[in-house]
Amino acid sequence: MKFGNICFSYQPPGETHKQVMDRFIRLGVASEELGFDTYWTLEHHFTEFGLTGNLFVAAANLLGRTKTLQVGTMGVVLPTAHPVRQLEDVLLLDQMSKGRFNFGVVRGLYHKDFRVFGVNMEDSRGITQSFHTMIIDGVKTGRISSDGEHIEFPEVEVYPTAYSKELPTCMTAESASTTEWLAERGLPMVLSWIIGTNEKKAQMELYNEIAIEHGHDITKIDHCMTFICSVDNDSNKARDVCRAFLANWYDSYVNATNIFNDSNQTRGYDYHKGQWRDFVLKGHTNSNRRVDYSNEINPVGTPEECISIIQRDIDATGITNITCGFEANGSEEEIVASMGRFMTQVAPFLKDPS
Amino acid sequence: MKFGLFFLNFQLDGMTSENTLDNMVSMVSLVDADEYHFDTVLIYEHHFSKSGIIASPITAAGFLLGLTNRLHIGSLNQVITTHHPVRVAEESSLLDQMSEGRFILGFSNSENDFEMDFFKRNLASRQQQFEACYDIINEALTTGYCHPQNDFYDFPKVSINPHCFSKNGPKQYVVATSKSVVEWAAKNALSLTFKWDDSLADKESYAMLYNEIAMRYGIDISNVEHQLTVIVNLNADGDLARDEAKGYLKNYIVETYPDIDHVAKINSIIAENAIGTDAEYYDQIKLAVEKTGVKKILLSFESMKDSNDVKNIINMANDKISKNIKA
Repeated sequence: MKFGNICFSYQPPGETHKQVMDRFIRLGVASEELGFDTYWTLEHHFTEFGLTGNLFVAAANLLGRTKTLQVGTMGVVLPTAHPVRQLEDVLLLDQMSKGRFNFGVVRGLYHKDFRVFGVNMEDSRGITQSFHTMIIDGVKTGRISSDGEHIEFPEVEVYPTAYSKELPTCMTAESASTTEWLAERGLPMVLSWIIGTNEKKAQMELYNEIAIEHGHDITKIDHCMTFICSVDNDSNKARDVCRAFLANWYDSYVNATNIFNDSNQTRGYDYHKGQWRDFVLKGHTNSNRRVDYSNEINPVGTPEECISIIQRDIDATGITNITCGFEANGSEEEIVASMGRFMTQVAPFLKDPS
Repeated sequence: MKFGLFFLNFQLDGMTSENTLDNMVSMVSLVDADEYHFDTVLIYEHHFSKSGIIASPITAAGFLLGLTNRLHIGSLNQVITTHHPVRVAEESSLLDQMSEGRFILGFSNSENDFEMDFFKRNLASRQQQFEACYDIINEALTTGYCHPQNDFYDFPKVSINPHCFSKNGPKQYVVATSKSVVEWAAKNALSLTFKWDDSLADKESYAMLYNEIAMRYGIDISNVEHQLTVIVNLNADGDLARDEAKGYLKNYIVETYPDIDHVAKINSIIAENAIGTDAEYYDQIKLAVEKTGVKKILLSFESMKDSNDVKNIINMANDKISKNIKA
């Protein structure tokens, strides 16, 4: 069983960038002190939804501050930066941290990123798959080249050489297409916190079926399951403390991308648009109802309630790499306290899948 | 006079990438202690060969800033022409926040035609792209936003997050790579970094050009603090120091200056840096300081193979700095 802490670096109304970044650092350092295995960072640009635009640099700083903690990206928006730059960053962090860096990626959901960095958002899936293959091969061989559809450059040597024999990676998988692509290659997925147990189970069944067809040992693939978490001996207090943060946070998420607009015609994001339509039908466009739904499917409550929710998903998916986001727990001290309760009153009581 | 270190991170024959980076990390950890008077560490950007195995100096600076408490750490020559300016601005402001003002942005135009072509930049408009990138970066670091509408970048106004911790963004230096860059730097009152592999005559001509342009355009350069980079290899046996330096520099010089006499170039670098015996280096460096008007000297000890010798030389230099401070 492994436990991670994911930090969104969201800027709630009324907070300064300094306060958000101080908390970002403090939660990373506290993660090591409290015994978490991994601290995960998220990439966002130009929005209060997340203040960390370059995860390699943010992860570097946290790796420098810590000794044993793994630090990961969840994820780098792969299509919007040159693959050689990304490979060079990955190798550097793998070496400087002596194997404590986990390279997690996403294909991107936010139109401003693609506009500013000059990439066609409709090509994001193809570019992601192409760049990912290139980068992972480059880590192993120390060389990279491309004469492909999305980018062209001659073969070059890249440095430093890799430290890890097998670089830890993951990719956020929401659609069936991404799940299938990862399964064919036996690569680990990150499962989202906004889907319920049945959807997680269905996603894993799809993955496992395809991975087995392609000859992969599914018992050795380190998928990661994410949650929003608040642990308090008073269940109502845990739910209430999350409410203000999550209402603003979910609104910020919806405002940060234009793909949920009815008139949006961006191709390649049918899964997300369909998911949003389901949200609309269920009335989850109302912030309070969305938070209620979030609280129902995530470990928000007493230690016993949190154990029950996470164990249910462990049993349904077989995933034992559990990552929780705690930023909705109030002040920095309250967040660290909730992290502490998770590591002492929840984590030790979770069991391998039955 | 202020002092700091810079790291080229050449991976020499017989060394691994891990050894090379470990040497930098241990040296930086050493001089971060309060008893040392070095205040700066800058890291060299280089791509595609062992003559510099760090391609992302800002990322490396991020790690070292996390590891240290006191030193100001940054890039020596972040090549802004071949990088997206919004990325450079985001990385710089992020580290300025995370280090509470200890990050330094040293940047450079691209001197390498292969890299310009590799990253799909037009050779003919090198200087214009460099200036356009800088304008975007500087706007972002000083205001928190950028809204470029030039020949190279055109997109809506965006917030560069997190905004800087420092009032006007991190301290900036630009490498003196050409007359056009030096003229531009003078017009913008930006401090120069003089290259260790340029001849003293070139450095002097850049310094004179800078002052002439600043005067002609009425630029206030009272806050300008140029810095000089110096390769150090000192040994009681001067020939040993010179031989070690020659071996260290050879691959880099062959790669960087393919069309000149490599032996002559290396000999000139040895003569104009702090390479030889303890008695040989002082006059040359003093002359370079006088000719360039620098207020900071950055030293690289990486050509010295024996780590104990390096520590001894660092301690000797530290003692001299300490005595000067007390005097």
